[in-house]
Amino acid sequence: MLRSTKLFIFLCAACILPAGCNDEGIDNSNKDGFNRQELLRTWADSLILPGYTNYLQTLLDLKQSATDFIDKPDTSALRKLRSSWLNSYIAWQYVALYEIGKAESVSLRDFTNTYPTSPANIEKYLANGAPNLELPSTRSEQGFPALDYLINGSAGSDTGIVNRYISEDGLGAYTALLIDRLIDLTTQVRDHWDNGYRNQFMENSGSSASSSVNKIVNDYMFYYERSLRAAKVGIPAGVFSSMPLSDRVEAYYHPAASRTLFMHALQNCIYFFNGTRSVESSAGLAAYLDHLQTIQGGEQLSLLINHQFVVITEKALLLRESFKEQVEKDNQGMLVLFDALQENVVLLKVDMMQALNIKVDFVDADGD
Amino acid sequence: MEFRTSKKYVERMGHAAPLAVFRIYFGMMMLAGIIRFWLNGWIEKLYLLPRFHFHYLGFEFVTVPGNWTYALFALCALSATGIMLGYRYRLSASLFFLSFTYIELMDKTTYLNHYYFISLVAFLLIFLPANRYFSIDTLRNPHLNCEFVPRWNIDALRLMLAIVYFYAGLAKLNSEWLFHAQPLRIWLPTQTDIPLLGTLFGEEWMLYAMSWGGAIYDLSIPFLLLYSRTRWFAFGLVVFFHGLTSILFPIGMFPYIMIGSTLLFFSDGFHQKIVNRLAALVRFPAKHLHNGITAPSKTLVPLLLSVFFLFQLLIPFRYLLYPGELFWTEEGYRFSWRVMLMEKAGSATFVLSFPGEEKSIQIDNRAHLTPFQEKQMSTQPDLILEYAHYLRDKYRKPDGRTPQVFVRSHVALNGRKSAPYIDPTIDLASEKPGLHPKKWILPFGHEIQGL
Repeated sequence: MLRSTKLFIFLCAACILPAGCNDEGIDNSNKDGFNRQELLRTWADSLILPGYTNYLQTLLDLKQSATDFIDKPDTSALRKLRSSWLNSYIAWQYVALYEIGKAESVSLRDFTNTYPTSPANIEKYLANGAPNLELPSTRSEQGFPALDYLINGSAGSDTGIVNRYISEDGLGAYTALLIDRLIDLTTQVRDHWDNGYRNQFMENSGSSASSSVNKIVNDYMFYYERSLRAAKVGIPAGVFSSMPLSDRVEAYYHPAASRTLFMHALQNCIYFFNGTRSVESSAGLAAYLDHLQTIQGGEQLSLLINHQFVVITEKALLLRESFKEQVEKDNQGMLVLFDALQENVVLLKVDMMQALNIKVDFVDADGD
Repeated sequence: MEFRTSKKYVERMGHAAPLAVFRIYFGMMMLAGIIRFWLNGWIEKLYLLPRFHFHYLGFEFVTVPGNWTYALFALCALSATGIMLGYRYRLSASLFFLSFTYIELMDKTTYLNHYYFISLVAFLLIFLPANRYFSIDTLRNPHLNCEFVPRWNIDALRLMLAIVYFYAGLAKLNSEWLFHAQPLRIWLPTQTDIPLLGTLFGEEWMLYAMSWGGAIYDLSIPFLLLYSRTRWFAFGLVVFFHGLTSILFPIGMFPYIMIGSTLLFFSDGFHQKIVNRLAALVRFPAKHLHNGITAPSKTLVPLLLSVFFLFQLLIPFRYLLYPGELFWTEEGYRFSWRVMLMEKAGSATFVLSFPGEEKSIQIDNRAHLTPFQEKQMSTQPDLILEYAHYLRDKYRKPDGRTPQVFVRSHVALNGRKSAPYIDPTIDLASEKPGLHPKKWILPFGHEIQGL
């Protein structure tokens, strides 16, 4: 009796103990030869951190331009402010997909770029004072889309906008408030990366559902499907509705920027996939896929995906600078771009996720 | 003659302790499982948050009862406790079976063979006299108390376990598992951060060793457990195997349930020792444990269980009635102990169009399904069809016109490149659900040999 009980307890312990410490793998030297920690380091050091640093710098420039314009509103200062805004909006596209860590906990993406914005609400705030911008209910009245309305759409002409900034204190105050909020949020996120999160991110290099690779690849997929494919292209093109919705384009009040913003967002998706800004060297998911080689037969998956990125780029370059105009004049081109984006959803979400053994569901429920 | 042997078998007696030990362990694990499920927030996540639930054919009436779902889980936990303690046992076992099965029927998305196994065991327990020894019921009604029960009661549970293992082993006898080491080839190489064994998971031979080892284990373990000489060795294997799977895969409580359940194969004496230990611990009156009384034999229950097991032996083979590749179409895939057999991923985009209208609408699945539901739906034709019908009804026009529903879908199976899955020209809105072969599944284009 005693002997068998001891054996039983020993065996139970033998199987429970390793289970207890497997959740967050500490050992990073993957014997499959692929170093996931190196992959994470590449993402952090060559894309994420430089991305935030650059974005934050453009926000500070934006603040300067805004201060200059608010102090002395005229059309040339407005044009300068507008170009700073666009620079910042472009820089944002290079960090928008990293909804992880602090960015996730402060909902950086939602507070920065929820569109369409609501002019009626903004006008209400201009008249009655700004609300608490930390409330989730105010997210479409802040960030780049709200600034878009203020500096591009709050009056019918540049002179009209300048005149509003001269005659109504509310516009300048609200503009400054929105920019400060963007700076505040971004600083929090960047500081978090600088003060330890980079290491935490890299060290969580296991393969569990909560590991950095699984999480950020899921973020990537989510961003690609929802923000790039649907929000920037599919929704305005009316893919999901009974008619096209040209008023849903990004930067609606300065629609000439919409294709530019899309191109930069696409560019960052390509960078992330290849782990680098340079085309020659291969790191990132492409290298991981090449290493695992789990897809049987046919071409290399990384080549297929990169090829499709080229197709997408080509289709997008055929379109007008203004997606609003494109939707209104020739929506077919938008639909073609959407289908090209969709083809990579299949390759990324089905083939790549399977090869990397990453689950798409984010649910930690039991399996069979 | 044959009748006489089976009659004789039915009258064979054994000690009641194994049944009591199993009852206690099972009740305890179920209670822990429900609590774990609750604390993980899965009641909300899996049942309350989704706007739509996938139903089992014939069980469309089973719906999620809103916040009463918590009460349902509470009832399930309470009845599990009743089983464990042997308190109002038959009622507890019945309520547990009903509540647990109801929960499983609420959404097909969450189907797991493990849960099906639990339902079957709970069903068996209703008919077994597991409360006649070392239970609160025997303290309340001493005339229930028996030290011996007909042997078949224990054998029924052993048979259930043996079927699970053996059929899981049979299901592995196919070219994917044995000759391509799939899907372990996908699952193991990313698990290299596991201590000790992890370093081997990148090795080709290791993938085959694990595949073949798993198949041989499943096929042989019931027999190794049956013979007393190999029993301890077999139990060691059980602990090793389930311990390993619990490290490698997110399978929750199941390994521990199985490890404990295999104790059923141990001798009466082994179980008596466990009962004596526990009895001393809870100061259970010893006189109730040694009254020498034998439970009355029943004839109806063995007959019922024979029919039950006949079905159990046949149901997993129903896939033979369908054309096409089982792994691809999944027709006859569930309820067959096909565990961890394939890695399947898919994407399904639904397009709705009204006859006579030029513009079609693409559906954002996330507006209707949780990510988990979307993932499960994308690779299972019956879920695709049910979702298509849901969309048909959801997008019905005020004048009563319903849309045609088309799906563009791709599925990748066991590391093959993704391929079109459902015929995109078929209007799913007008396809009937049912057990008949689904002709709108596109052919697999590859061959998988074996069972």
